[in-house]
Amino acid sequence: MGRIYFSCWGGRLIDNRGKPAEQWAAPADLKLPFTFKTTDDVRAFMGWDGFFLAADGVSVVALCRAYLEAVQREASCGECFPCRVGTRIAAELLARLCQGVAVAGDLAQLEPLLADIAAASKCQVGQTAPRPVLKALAHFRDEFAACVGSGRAIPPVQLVTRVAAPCQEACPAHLDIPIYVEDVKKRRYLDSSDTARLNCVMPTVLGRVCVRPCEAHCRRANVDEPIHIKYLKRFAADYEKRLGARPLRRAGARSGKRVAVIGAGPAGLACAEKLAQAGHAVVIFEALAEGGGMAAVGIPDYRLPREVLRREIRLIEELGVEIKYSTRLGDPGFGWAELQQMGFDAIFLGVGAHNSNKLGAEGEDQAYKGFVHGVAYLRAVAEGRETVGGKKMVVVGGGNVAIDCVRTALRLGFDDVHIIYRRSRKEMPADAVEIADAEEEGVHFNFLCNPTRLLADAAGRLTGVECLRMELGEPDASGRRRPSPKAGSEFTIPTDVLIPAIGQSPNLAFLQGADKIGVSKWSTIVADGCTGATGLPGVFSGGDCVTGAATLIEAVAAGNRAAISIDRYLLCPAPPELDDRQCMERLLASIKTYDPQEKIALPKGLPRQGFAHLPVATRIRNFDEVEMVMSAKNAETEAARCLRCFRLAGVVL
Amino acid sequence: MKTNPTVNLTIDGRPAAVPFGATILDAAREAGVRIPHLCKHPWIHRLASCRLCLVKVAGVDGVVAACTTPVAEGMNVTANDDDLLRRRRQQMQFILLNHPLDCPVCDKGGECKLQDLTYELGVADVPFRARIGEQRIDKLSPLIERNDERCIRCGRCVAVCEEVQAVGAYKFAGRGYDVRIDTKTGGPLDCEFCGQCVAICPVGALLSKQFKHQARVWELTHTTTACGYCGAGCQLELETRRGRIFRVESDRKRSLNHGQLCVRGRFGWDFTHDSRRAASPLIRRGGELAPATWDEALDAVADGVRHALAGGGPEAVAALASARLPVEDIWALGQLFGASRTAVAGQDAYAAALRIVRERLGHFGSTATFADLREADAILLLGSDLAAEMPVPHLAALAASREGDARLVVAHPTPTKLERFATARLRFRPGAADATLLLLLRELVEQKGQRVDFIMKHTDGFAVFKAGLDRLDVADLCARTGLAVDDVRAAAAALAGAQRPVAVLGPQALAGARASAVTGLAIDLLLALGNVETGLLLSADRCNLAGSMLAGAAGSSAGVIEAGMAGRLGALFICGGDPLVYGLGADQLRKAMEVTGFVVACDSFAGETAKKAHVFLPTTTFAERDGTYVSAENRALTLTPAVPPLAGAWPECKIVGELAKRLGKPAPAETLAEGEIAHSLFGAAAAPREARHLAAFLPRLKMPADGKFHFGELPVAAEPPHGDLLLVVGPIFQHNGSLSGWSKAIAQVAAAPFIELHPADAVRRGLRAGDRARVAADGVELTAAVRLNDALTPGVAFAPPHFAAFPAGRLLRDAPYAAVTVAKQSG
Repeated sequence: MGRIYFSCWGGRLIDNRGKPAEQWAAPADLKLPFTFKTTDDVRAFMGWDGFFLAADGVSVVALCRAYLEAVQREASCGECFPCRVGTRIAAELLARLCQGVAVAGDLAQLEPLLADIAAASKCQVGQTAPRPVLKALAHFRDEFAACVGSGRAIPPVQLVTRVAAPCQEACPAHLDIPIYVEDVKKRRYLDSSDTARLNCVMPTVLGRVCVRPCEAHCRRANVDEPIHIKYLKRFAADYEKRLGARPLRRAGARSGKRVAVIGAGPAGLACAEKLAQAGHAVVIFEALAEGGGMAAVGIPDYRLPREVLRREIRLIEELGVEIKYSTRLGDPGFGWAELQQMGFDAIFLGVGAHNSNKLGAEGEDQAYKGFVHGVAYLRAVAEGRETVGGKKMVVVGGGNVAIDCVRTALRLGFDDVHIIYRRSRKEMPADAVEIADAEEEGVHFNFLCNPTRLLADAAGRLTGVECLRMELGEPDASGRRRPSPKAGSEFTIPTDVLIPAIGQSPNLAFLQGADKIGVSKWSTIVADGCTGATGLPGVFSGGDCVTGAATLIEAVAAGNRAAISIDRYLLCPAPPELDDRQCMERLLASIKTYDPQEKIALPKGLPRQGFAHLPVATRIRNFDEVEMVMSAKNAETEAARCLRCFRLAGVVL
Repeated sequence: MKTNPTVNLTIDGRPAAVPFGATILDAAREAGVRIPHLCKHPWIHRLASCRLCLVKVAGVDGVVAACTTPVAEGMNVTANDDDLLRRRRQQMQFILLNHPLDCPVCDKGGECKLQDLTYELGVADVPFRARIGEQRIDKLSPLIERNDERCIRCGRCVAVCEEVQAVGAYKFAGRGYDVRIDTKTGGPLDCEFCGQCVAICPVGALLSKQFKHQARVWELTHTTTACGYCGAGCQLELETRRGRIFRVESDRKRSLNHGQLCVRGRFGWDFTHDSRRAASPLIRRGGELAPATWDEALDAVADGVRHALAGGGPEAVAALASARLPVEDIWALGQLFGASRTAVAGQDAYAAALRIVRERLGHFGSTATFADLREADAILLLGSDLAAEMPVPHLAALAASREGDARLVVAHPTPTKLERFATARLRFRPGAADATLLLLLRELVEQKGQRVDFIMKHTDGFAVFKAGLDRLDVADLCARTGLAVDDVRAAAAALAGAQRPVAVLGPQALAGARASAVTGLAIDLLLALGNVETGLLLSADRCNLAGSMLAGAAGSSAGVIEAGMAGRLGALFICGGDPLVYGLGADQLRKAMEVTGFVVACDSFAGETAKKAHVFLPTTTFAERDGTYVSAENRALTLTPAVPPLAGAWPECKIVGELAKRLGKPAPAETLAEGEIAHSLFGAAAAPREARHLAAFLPRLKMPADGKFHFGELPVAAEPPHGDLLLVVGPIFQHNGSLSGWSKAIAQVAAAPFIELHPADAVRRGLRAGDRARVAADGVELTAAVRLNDALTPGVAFAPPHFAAFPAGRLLRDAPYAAVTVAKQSG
C-alpha cells in the first residue's frame, strides 16, 4: 500500500499536489512499483509510459534529466540517428535547465524535439524515452519554466535503472531476447547462441520445448503475429551445434569451494553451469542413469532428440562439472546425514517432481495390468524398458505429460488413443502446438469428463474406465473454471491401458530428519523464490521440487538464481540478500510491462515465418524429430519482424 | 518454386505493383518515386538506422521506415510532403551535428552520400548542440584509414564485414552519442583487407590509404576490365587520369562479382606503375645482363631459336607460358613453337584434370558456375582453400552455408577459413585426396545417399562401380588418409540426398600424378549425387588458367623441364611469370635452365627467372592491354586497356609476332580483332565493348550422344608421401603467384614469408614462434621464420610459395606437398 503524490502511469492521472499527505494513499487497484528493497522505499519511478512520485521533494526536472542521461548511457545502442543524437541533445538541454543556464529557446526546442525522436526512432528505446519527459512537461510546465535563466543549480538525482523488454521480463530466466533475436537478423548466429546461454544453460533444449511465456508478451502480436522467439533460439543454437562450435563460456578461476547439486535436471544443470563459471567445483548427484531430469525421461524423443540433450550435458561436463549417475540421495549409504559429512561448502536441491498424482478413482491401487502412471510410462519408454502394450489407451489429464503419453503410444503401435480431461479445451494447460500436432496424428479428445472407477477382468487386466460428465462453474484459485460432476452421467470407456497424467509432486523422503528445511503441505521444499535459500543456511533449492510441477525454463531460472546466492554465500556466509539488479527485476515483475491492448502504429507486415514438420504418415511410427529447424532465410526474415522493445525504467530511492 | 503474388499499392498517387514481401522502398523505386535513403545497401540486411526513408501509410498513425515496411494490397503511401521533409532534414541535422567540415580535403568528395543528401534535402544549418567526446583517426591500419570524426555510425561496415566476409572485424563500442565503430580488438585492423568496408562506407570515414589525396573522383576516367590475378573473373573499374591508375573499384550494379573484390584486386594493382617495372629488353653480354633495343633483343632471340632448331629440330625449342597470359597470346605461342611444345608452366595436374573431364563428360572445364555454388545445398571443398585461391567466389560458398543452409564439407590437409563453417571436416593427409574420395563414395553408397532415380535414368555401370566400392579395404584407406571412419560417415551424411551438390576441386586434390584419378572420382561422386550438369567447379588460382588450356598449349610442363634437364632443348622460352620463385618443380627448372643453351624470359618485372636468362623481354600488365581470359566458371572475359603500356614494354602476342617474322613464319594474328580468336577457339560470342560486363559463358555441359554418363573404373589409391614432417605448400589470400610480390600495397599486409608448424612439431625441434628455421628437401635448403598454429595436424606444416626470399616451390616436385626436414637455423 503505497502513497502517490503524482502519477501519470498506466493511463491514469492522479494529481495530489496541494492536497494534504493523508489523502495520498494509492488506490487499491493501481499497480505501481512502490517497493524496491524495503517496503515503500521508492521515492520516484520513471519509465516508458510515464512516471510517479511517492512524495514531493523530488525535482521532476532533475528526474527527467537523470532518465534521459540513463537512456544515453545504458539503453541507446547508438545505431539509429534520432535516438543516438536526439536523446543526447535533449539530455544536455535538461542538464542546462538543471544547472540554471538554459535559455528560453532551449525549453521551446525540447518538446517538439522529443516528439520527433519518439516518432522517428527505430526501436522502443527511442520511441519511449521521450514519453515520460513529455508528460512531465505537460503537467509540471512551471517547474521547467522556473529553471530558465534561474542561475540556480538543482542537484542531480540518482536513478537505479533497468533496461528490459516485455518478452525478457516475461521469461522466468530473463533471457536477453531482443539481443539474441537481433543477432540472428545480423547473421551473427554464434553470438546469438552465446547470448541465450548467458541465462539459459541449454538453448538447443529450450529452443525445442520451452512453453515460451515470452511469446505471450510479444508486442509484435499487437501488430500481426508474435515473433517465433523459441524457434529463433533453436535456429541459432542448432547452427552452433551443426558447426561443432564451442560456446564462449569458460570455467572460472578455481575458488577452492565445493558445491553438491542433487539432481541433474534443468535446475541442477543450470545451477552447476553458473557455479562452474564462477570457479567453484561442482558435483551433481543424479538418481537416474542419464542426466536431464524430466527433459530426458519426461519429454519424448520426437520432441527433444536425446542426442541434443546429451550434447548439452557433455558441454556442461567440459566446464569441469562432475556428474555421478545412478546415485540417488536417500538410498542406503547415501542419505542426508552422509551428504552433510562429505565436505561440501553448499548444497543445491533440484530433485524435481517425479511422483505422479493419484486419480482418486476406485481401483487405482489394485495394480491392474494396463494401469501405469504417465511419468512412469514415459520414463520406461525413454529408458528402453518394456512397458504396457495394447491397442487402446486412455490418458487422463490436460498437460504436456498427457499429450506426450498419447503421442508416444501412437508411435508404439496403439491404434485408438484418447485423452480425457475434466475441463474444456480452452482450459487445457498443454502447449497449443502440441495439442494441434496430437490431433493431426489422430488423438481423440474427450472434454468435460473425469474417471471415477477402474474396471478389470478376473485376471486383473484392465478392461475399461467408468467416467462422469463434468460441467464448468466459477473460476478456482488458478483462474480456471472449476469443474463439477453432473449427477447420473456415468458412462464407460473400454480400454486396454489407463494412464493418469494429472500432475506430479516431489519425493522428499530423503529429507526426513533434515533439520530446518521446511516442507509444505503439497510436499514441496520451502525455499525463497528469489534467492533459493531454504531454512538451513548453505542449503538452497529450486525447480519443481519447490514450485510443484512447472516448466523447464522456470527450473532453469531457479537454478540461475540459486547459483548467484550460493556464489555470494561461498564468498561470505550471510543471510541472502538481493542486489540492485535483482531488486529491479522483482520491481518490474510487480507491474505490467506488456499491454495486449496497446495500439502500435505499424501496418500489418509479413506473417510469422515458418519451418517444416515431418508429415504425419512419416512420423507416426517412429520417434524422429517432428519439427525441423527454420531455414536461415526464414530465420533472418522472422528476426527482422522484432520491434526491439527495450525500455528503460528507473527508481529514485 | 512458388512465385510471390503481386501486391498493388499507391505511392504519392502513383500505382506500384511488386511481389509480396517487397518493401515500400522497393515499390517506390518501381513507381519512380524518390524516397531519400542512406543506410540501405544490397550487400547487407536492412539497417533501417538512418530514418531518412520515413513515410506515411494511410490508416496508420505516425511514420514508418519505407525500407523495412512490407507492402500490403491497397496500401496508400505518402512518400513526400512538408512534414516528411522536415523530419528528413532533422535526421540530416542529427548527422551533421558534429560532422567535421572536411569536404575540401576529404577524398569522398564527389561521391559522398552525406554531401548528396544534404544538398538534396536543402539542409543549411543545425539548430542543436551536443558535446562530442574524443574522436580518433586510425592511421596505423594498413591500406585503410579509419576516421572517427567523419563516421556517421550508420553501421554498414560492421554489417558487411560480418554478413558478407564472415570476418566481423568491426563492432559498435559504447552507447548513445558516445558510440563509436571500433575494431573488435580495439587495435589496428587485422582482417582480410578486402576493402568491402571502404566500398560500402557512404562517407569519408573509411578510406583507401592508397588513394588518399591522390585525385578527385570526378577527374578520373573509368575503364571496365578483368582482374589479372586469380580465376574468379572479377571485373574491375580501373580509375585513371593521364595514363595512370589512381584507384580500383568494381561496379556494384553491373559487374559479375557484384562490386565485391579482394585485397589483390582492390589494392594490388599498383605493380603496373611500380618503379621496378622492366622497361628495357636485356641481353646477356659477358656474363651480365645489359640493356638493349627491341630489335637487338628480338634478333638475339631469333638467332638463339634458329641455332637450336638447326641443332635439334623443332623438338629442341619449347615454351613455358604463364597461366596469366590471355588466350590470344598462348594461342600465338602455340602457333609459333607448336602446340605440343608449348606448356602452361606448373599446371600439368590441372591439364590432366581437364582431360578427364573431356573424356568422361565431353565437356571443357567446370560445369558449375559461381551462381550454382551460391545455390548449392551441399558443397564439397576437396583440396581447395577457396578463400585463398579465389576470394570473391568463396563468398558464394559462405553465403550458401550461412544464408542458404548448405551443408559444407571441407576436405583439406591444413586448416582453412571455410573449415569454421563446415558441417563436416576431413583433414586428410597430404596427397591422399584420392583415397579420401574412395572412402567418401563408399560411405555415401553405404548410407544409401545416392540419387537412385538419376543413376537409373542417366548413367550406367553403377552396379560394377558399387561392387568395387564394397571391395575397398576401409581400414587401409583410413590409415592412408589419416581419417576416422566416423568423420567420413558424417561427411557422407552431409552430402547424401543433396539436390544441388557442388564439388570444388583445388590444388591439394588435383595434385601431381593423382589429378586424373581424383577428377574421375569426383565425377563419379557427382554422378552418384545426381548432378554433373552444374556440379563440378575446378578452382583456378590464375586469371586465365582455364583459358590457357583451351588455347592450344598441349605440352606438359614437367616434360619440357625434363627435356631441358636432359639436355634435349636448345632453346627455352619462358613467357610470363617468375617460375623460379613460384611454381612446382622450381628447382628442376633451375637445373633445366642451366643445361639449356639459350633461355629467354619475358615478364613485367625482371625477377629471379630473368636473372638466369640469356635474353629478357619486358611485357605489359593486364591493365595495359587487350585480350581474353577464361575464368574458373568458364566465362570469357575481355580485357580493355585502361592505361597506355609502359614505354618499352610489349604485350607477349606482339613479341611472338615479331619473332615469327624474323623466323620466316606466318605471324599469328597480331591485331586482336574483337573476340575473333576467342570465337574461333571456343565459339564464345564476342561481347561488344559496351556490354563487356556481361562476359559470355562458354558452352554448357551437354548430355552425351548415347544419353548416359558412365561410372568409371575405381583407381587404386596412391601411397601418400611419408615423412616426419610433411610440408603443404599453398596460397594465402593476400598473394597470388609471384606477381603480387611486386605490389607495395600487398606488402603492407603480407610482406614476410613463413613456415607454419604445429606447436608440438616446433617444440620437438627446439623452435619457437619467430625463430628462423632451415627447411630442406631433395637437396634444396631454404630458411624462413616460424609461426605456430595449433589448428594444424601434428606432422603437417604449411608454407606459402609466393616469396622470393623463401621460394617454397623449390622444395616441391610435381605436387604441392613434400616431406621436408625442419631444424633450427644455428647462428
